[in-house]
Amino acid sequence: MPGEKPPAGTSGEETALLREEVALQKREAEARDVREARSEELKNRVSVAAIILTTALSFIGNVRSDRGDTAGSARAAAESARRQGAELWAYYQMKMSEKASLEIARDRIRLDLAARGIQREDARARLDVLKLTGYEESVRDFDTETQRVFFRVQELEVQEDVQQRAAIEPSRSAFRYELGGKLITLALILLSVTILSSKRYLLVAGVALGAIGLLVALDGYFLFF
Amino acid sequence: MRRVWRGLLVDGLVVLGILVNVGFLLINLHPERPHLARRTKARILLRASEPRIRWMRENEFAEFAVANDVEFELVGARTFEDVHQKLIEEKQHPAGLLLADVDDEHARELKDGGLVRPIADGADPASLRQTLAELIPEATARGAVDGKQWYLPKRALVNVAVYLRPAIEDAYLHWEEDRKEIDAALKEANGAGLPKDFRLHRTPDRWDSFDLFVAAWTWAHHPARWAEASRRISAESSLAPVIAPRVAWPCGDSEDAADELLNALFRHGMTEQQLGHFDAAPLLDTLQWQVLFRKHGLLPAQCEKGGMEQREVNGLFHERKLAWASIDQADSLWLHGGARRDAEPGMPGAGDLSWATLPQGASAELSRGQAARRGRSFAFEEVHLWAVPIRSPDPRLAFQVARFLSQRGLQHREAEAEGMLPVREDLRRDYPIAFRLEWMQRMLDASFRQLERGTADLPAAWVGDDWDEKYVKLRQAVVYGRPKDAQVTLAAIREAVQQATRAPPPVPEAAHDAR
Repeated sequence: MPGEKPPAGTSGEETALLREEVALQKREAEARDVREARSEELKNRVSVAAIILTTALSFIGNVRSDRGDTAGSARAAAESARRQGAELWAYYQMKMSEKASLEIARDRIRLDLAARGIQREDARARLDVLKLTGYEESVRDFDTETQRVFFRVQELEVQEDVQQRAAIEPSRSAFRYELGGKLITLALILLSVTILSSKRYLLVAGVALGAIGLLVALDGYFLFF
Repeated sequence: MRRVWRGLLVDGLVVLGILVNVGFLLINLHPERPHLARRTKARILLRASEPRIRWMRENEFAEFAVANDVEFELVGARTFEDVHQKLIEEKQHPAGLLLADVDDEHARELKDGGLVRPIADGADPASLRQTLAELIPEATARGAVDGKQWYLPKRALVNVAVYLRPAIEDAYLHWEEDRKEIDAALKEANGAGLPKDFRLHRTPDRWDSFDLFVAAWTWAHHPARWAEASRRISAESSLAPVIAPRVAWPCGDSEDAADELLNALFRHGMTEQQLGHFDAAPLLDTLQWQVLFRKHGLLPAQCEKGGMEQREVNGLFHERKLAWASIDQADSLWLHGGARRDAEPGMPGAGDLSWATLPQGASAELSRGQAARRGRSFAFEEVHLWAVPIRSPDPRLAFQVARFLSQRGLQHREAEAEGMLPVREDLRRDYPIAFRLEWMQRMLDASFRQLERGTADLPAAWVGDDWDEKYVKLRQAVVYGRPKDAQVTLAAIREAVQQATRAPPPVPEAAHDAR
C-alpha cells in the first residue's frame, strides 16, 4: 500500500542479492575478458606461426621445384646421350657390315691368287694386286672411321653415366624439400584447427610439426642425412 | 616472471622463424648444396704409369673430389715392390696416405707387417655387405685374410696369348714345307720327332707346346710378308719381307722373366708342392722346350744378350715384328691403341690382332707316339686390391673412395679405356653386351676362357722364399749357360739341372743387368 513502510529485513536481503548478482556479473565479465584475451593471444600466435610457415612453404616449394628441375634435366641429358649413343652405334654397325663385304672381296682375290698359284709379285697378278690394295685401303679407312664413331659413342656413354650420377644429389634434395613441405602443410592444418577449437595444445603441436618440417627442408639444402 | 620468460620465448621463436625464412630466401638464390666442410687433402698410392694416373685423375677421382670436397694427390709407384716400400715409409713417417693400390701376392705380407688395416674398419657393415655383394666372390676372397675383409678388389689381370691372324694363316698353310727339319730337330730331343699324326691346329686356342714350336719354326725360317713389310699398304713390293724369330716371352733374370717362367712351369703341370724339386718333370720339360727354342733361333736375339722384360716384348709386337706372345689386358689395349681417343697410337694393322688362351704344356718326350706328359693351359691371375694404410688419416673416407671407384659405370669405363678384367659380377656377366668392340670382345673372351681353363693365385713361397730368383738362375744356367749346340735330350737337361743346383749356378754374363 502507498505510504506503507517496507519491512526492514526484506530490504537488506534484496540488497545483498543484488550485490551478489552484480559481483557475479563482474566475475563473469572478468573471466570472459580473460578468455577473450587468451583467445586473442592464441589467435595472434597462430597467425604469426602461420605466416612464418606459409612464407617458408612458399620458399621451399620454389627451391624444391628448382632441385627437381635440375635432377630432371640431368636425367634428360643422360637419356639424350643414351639415345644419341644408340643411334651412333647403329651407324657403327652399318659401317662394320659394309667393311665385312669389302673383306670378303679382298679374301676372294687372295684365295683366287692362291688357287692359281700366283705370287703378288707376278706380272699376271698386277690387276688383282691393284684391286687387292684398293680393298685393303678401304678396309683400313673403314677401321679409322668406325674407330672415330666408337670414340664418340664412348664419350656419349660417359656423359650418360656422369649425368645419371649428377641427378642423384638434386633428387635427394628435392625429396627432402618435398617431405619438409608436406610436414609444414600438416602443421598449417593443425594451426587452422587451433583457431576453430581454441585448444592451446594444438598450437604447440602445430608449431612443433612445423619446426620439424623446417628442419627436414633445411636438410634438403645441407644433405646431412 | 613466468610471463616475462614466456614472452621472451615467443619473441625468440618469432625471430627464429623470420631468420629461417630469410635463410630459405637465400637458399632460393643459390639452391646447390653448400660446400661448408673444410677441403680434405687425400694422398692415394697407385701402381700405375703417369698416363694411367692422369686418366684416373680426370675420369674417376675428379668427380669424387668435387662431390665430397676432397683434394686428391695421386702418387705413382712403378712396381708393387715400390708400393710395399712406400707403405713401410708411411708407417714410420705418416704423410697422410689415405689408400693404396696393392696386389694379392703381397696381401698377407702387408697385413703381417702391420702396414695396413682392414678396409672393413672404415665401413659400416651394411655398406660393406652391399659392396662385396656386387663383386666377384673369387676376387673378394683374395681380399679377405683370416676371415676378415682387409682389402677391396680393384681389378684383375691375366696373361693370354696375342697373335697376328695372317701369321697363323701363314703357319697353317706352310708348316709342312719344313716338316722334315722340324722332325729332325725334335728327334734330337725325344728320339722320335713330332707326335704321331701331328697337324698344326688352326686356332692358337687349341695349341700345345708342339704347335707353338712348329709355328715358331715356320715363322723363323721364312720371310714374313705379314710382319714389318706389311706396315704400309701398297701395290708396290719394294718392302722386302725379312726372316726373323717371331715368338717372344720375357727372358733374362728380370721379375717379368721369373713370372713368365713360373707360368710356363705350371703350364707343364707343376704344383706348388713341387717348388724346389729340381728333378720334377714339369721343370725338365719346360727347360727342354726353352733349350730347343734357343738352339733353333726361334726367340729374339735379346734373350741371348741381356733378356727382355714384358714391355720390350710388347714393343717388338708393336713394331709388328712378332707373331705370337703372351700379354695381359692392359698391354693388349696399348698394343691395339683403339681403346680411347687419347690413347697412344697402336701397332700398324691392329685389326689383325687376336687373342687366345695360352698353349697347353706338353712334354717333348713321347710315349706311344704322343706327348708323354700333358699339363694344361694356365696363367696366374693377378688381382689388384685397395688397401688402407695403417696410419690412414680417414679409413671411412678411404672406404668411400674405394667404393665409389668400384661402381659399375667407372669400372666399365676403366676396363674399356685402360684394360683390365672387371671384378664386378654384373660386368663379368654382361661383358659381351657392355664391351661392344669386336676386338675387345675377342680379348675378353680369351681372358675369361683362360680363367676357366687354368688359373690360380701366385704361390706365396715363389717370392717369399726367393724361388723366383733361384729358378731364374737355374734357367739361365741350363738354357743360356750352355753352348747352343749342347745336347737337348731330357737326360742332358736333367744333368745340366743337377750340375747347376749342386754348385751355385753360374750366371752367364749375358743375363746381367737385365732387371
